Amino acid sequence: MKAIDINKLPELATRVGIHGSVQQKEVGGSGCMVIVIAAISG
Amino acid sequence: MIPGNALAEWLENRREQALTNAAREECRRELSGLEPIARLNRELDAAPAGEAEAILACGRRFLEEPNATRSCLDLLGSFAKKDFFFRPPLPNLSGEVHTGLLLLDRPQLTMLLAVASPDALATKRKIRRGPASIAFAGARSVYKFVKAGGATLSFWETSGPAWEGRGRCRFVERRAIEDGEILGLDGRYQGFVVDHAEGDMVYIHMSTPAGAAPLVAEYDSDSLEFIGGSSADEANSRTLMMLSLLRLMKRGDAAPLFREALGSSHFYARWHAMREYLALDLTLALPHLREMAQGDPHPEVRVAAARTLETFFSGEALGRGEELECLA
Repeated sequence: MKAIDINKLPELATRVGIHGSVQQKEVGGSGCMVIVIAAISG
Repeated sequence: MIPGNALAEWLENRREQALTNAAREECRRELSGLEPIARLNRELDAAPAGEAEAILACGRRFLEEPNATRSCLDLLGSFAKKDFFFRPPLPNLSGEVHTGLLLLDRPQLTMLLAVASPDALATKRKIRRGPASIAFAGARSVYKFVKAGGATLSFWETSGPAWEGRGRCRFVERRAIEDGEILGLDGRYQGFVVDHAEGDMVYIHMSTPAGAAPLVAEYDSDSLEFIGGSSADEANSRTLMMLSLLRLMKRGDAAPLFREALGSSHFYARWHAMREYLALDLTLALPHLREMAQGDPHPEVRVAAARTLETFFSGEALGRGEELECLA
């Protein structure tokens, strides 16, 4: 199989993280006061 | 951990532990049987699926009923008073600034009862290093501030869908929140920041995934410019991570899964799948890359696909030949 090194492939201009991740710390508002379902601890 | 006397005795006493567990189950039954909760469940059953306005209207009626919230709190409080070691029979959801219990968890609506402390908010600001964001959560929701804690909120909005990142977000207003206030928020366009709070904020947050944005959007709090987003779709994020794992494991037999992911409704997921596919087996991926460069509905995906074709598959690039790795 031939393949390309993934690090050489372009990224989109819009940076999109995985669910529940943040690019920068939030100031403190609607983002940090809502439910992150992934964080359910039972 | 060194337990206090009361905890040490409870840990030694199986019968007391069984009573605590039984109380938890009794509380669960009584909570689901509370008329306001039962009514909310009935209304949600009857609400048209996928219609955010209708779903949130059910939630808002619950929040507007004076005794609905009170009856839930009173029930939990009565069990806690009877048994020091009582734990509510509800999922515990806590973040950096809030501690909460998930009162309702339906596919179309979640209801969180939470406390946010001013100390936690202040600490979050104080220990922060580097730039900060204003978040647009993406989903439509309703808040009821049972206790506003003397909080002042500033409200922000975007001129278009926040996740598309067009232009800057803008300040709308800053105002104090009243005890008992109900606040609707369209997280696709609107967000808020807690500027100041004197005491604990006790609130109920209802949110529906119906019609939600594909991304939670972040705008820089200084420049007010869009800086990026994160997926609002947890299942999709897990799928993308699995594709990365399969590629790292060089599982060529998983190619059909990569092709399936190329059809995702999320633009960022389609490009993620394509990058992984090219890094797995470019011969199989190439026809799909050409299709993507020609006809993907999202302009950024088309541009990235075209750049990849030019960089790796133009006559000149193929002549160089040094970019391709043979994994066979």
